[in-house]
Amino acid sequence: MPIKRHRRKLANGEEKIYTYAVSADGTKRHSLSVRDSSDSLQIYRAREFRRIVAALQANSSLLVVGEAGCGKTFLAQAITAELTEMNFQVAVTQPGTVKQILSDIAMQLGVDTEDLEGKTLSTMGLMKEIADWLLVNTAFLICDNAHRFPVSLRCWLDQLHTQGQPILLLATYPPARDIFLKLPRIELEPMADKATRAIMLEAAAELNLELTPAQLASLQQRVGGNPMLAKRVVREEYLGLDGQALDHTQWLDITPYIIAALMCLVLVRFIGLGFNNKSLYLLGGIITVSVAVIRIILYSLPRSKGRLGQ
Amino acid sequence: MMSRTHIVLAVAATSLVLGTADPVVLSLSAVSSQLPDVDTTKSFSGRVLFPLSSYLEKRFAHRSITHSFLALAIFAVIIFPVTFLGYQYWWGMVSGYFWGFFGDVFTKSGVALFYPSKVRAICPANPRLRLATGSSAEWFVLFFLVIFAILSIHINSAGGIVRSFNQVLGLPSGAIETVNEDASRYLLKAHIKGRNAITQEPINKSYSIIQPLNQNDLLVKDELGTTYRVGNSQESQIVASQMKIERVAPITTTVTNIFLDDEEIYTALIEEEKKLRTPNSELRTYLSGTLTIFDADDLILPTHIDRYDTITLQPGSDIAYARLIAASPQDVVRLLGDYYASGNLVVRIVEKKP
Repeated sequence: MPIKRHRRKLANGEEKIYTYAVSADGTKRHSLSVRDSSDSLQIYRAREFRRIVAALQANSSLLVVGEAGCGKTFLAQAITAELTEMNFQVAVTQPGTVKQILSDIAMQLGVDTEDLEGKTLSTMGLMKEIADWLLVNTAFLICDNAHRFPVSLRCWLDQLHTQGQPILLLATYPPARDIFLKLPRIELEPMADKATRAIMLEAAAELNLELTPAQLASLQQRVGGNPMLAKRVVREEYLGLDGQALDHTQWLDITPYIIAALMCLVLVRFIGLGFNNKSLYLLGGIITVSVAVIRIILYSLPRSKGRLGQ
Repeated sequence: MMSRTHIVLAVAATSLVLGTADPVVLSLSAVSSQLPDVDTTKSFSGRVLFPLSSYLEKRFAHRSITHSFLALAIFAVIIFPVTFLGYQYWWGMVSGYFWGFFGDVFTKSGVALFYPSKVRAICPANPRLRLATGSSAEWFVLFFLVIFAILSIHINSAGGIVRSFNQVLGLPSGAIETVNEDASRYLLKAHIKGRNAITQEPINKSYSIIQPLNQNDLLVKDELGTTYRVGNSQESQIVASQMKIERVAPITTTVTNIFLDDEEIYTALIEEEKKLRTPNSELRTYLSGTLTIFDADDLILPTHIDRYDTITLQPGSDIAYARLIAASPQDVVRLLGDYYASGNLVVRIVEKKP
């Protein structure tokens, strides 16, 4: 089915990009995604994109892992569009209960959700029905936010995987269990500086905000190759907030290394001892105590909490 | 971090790490500490090196490529020709550059130390405890860094951290260490706290230092020229609990040898003295060595328990052996002048530099 994209301005002034799959004769159209127009249409993760599409076409399942906001959903949408364009049938899961998710998949694939008597199928029934349908038909399952899936759904996906169904799972740091362990995995690396800078520029243009390269360079410190944060820092700047949060995961606490380097100075004490130099020995003793004090203080500082704003 | 914090941090750390108070080295490190911030046109160095900063800020995040070990290595290679002027200048610049970006580890957004990796190094882990540029906390840190820098420069200009530490503690072993280091270049004075080993009187007085005797004891003299052995050994006349060494003046030391072969000591010394005598050398000529003295039946040297005898005698039949340790020529002439002797004497003449 061919794809069509429209940029529409809504009554409240918002701009959205609508993506449709339109049937050949134009009678049937099926909405694929609605995105803010600030969302880039350019795929910065072209390599991963091509690799995933190729893998799915080769009837192989994949798990895409990355930090929150690293562009998994965007990638899922782009892949859905691409596969639909290739005339494949694609079912995309939306967040919901197990039953909602299954009914949604059934609807997208055109699987009957009622039994012969006209009763709505149970969860188990839906699972079996979809699995049976997928055995004889070709379709792709794309499951975004898979880390939120309950065990029952994961077991069902596991079963589908065993029967040879190509599945694309996208998850934020999923537990190392069942289906997540079985699938070949692609980890989304932080984006290149060039790509995040381009996303920031797009977001700024969207807000009609003029940012100098110096401002962009300064804002980019908090992005860490995360496209969601790239947009967020621009919005924060737009609102005049001096966001200080380091929400990306690309950081390293070097406190232990600093302490280790300081600890090396304790050697002075042993040098003093070895050379029978009393003052060096005393100096080394003072250094030892100072390093120990610094260490205690650094380690007793309140830890940063996992919760926002703490 | 503000540029002034970078400067003070770089100066303090460079002076401490390199143990220097050289103003050229420290200024070079201060200048180099500004270079990492060339990745933004807002900084001072960015405005000076505008084309470069404009190029960098269009492509890279702030505190990434120029704030990394990679950039440090490149910088170190580029400025390598500076070593022709002296390695300490090169070290000063490298250290300045390093502290220029390493200080940012303590700021909110951290530093990409390991560029091209995007990982930003931070310390401590809690962002609330890290510094925001220009915040009151940073001014507070700056205040302490200034004190630290002044202290560090002061300590290094006074001869280094170990020496200053010795000076503060006044530890006798440390003082002897200092004397060993300085005795050939400076006229030294020791302020000694302790007691007289014989009379047990407390002593709190300054003496000029003649020379170290061994690892534990110093040979000193008071203003009357009386010599004492100071230290903690049993032969000491003054048992020191605290010794603080002071440099009085820079000196030059001349060392010569006198060789006597059955000669009259008086004549030999007078001849030698004519050659050596200079206006400054009067009180600071020291003779050391062993002499074999002939016809020494009637030779008796007085011994003192309350002072250090620079000339000691080992009597024998007809001949005697005199051992001199930093003896003054006057004493030698007075006590042994009339005798004939053979042997070798080392003459050490200490003169203040004009």
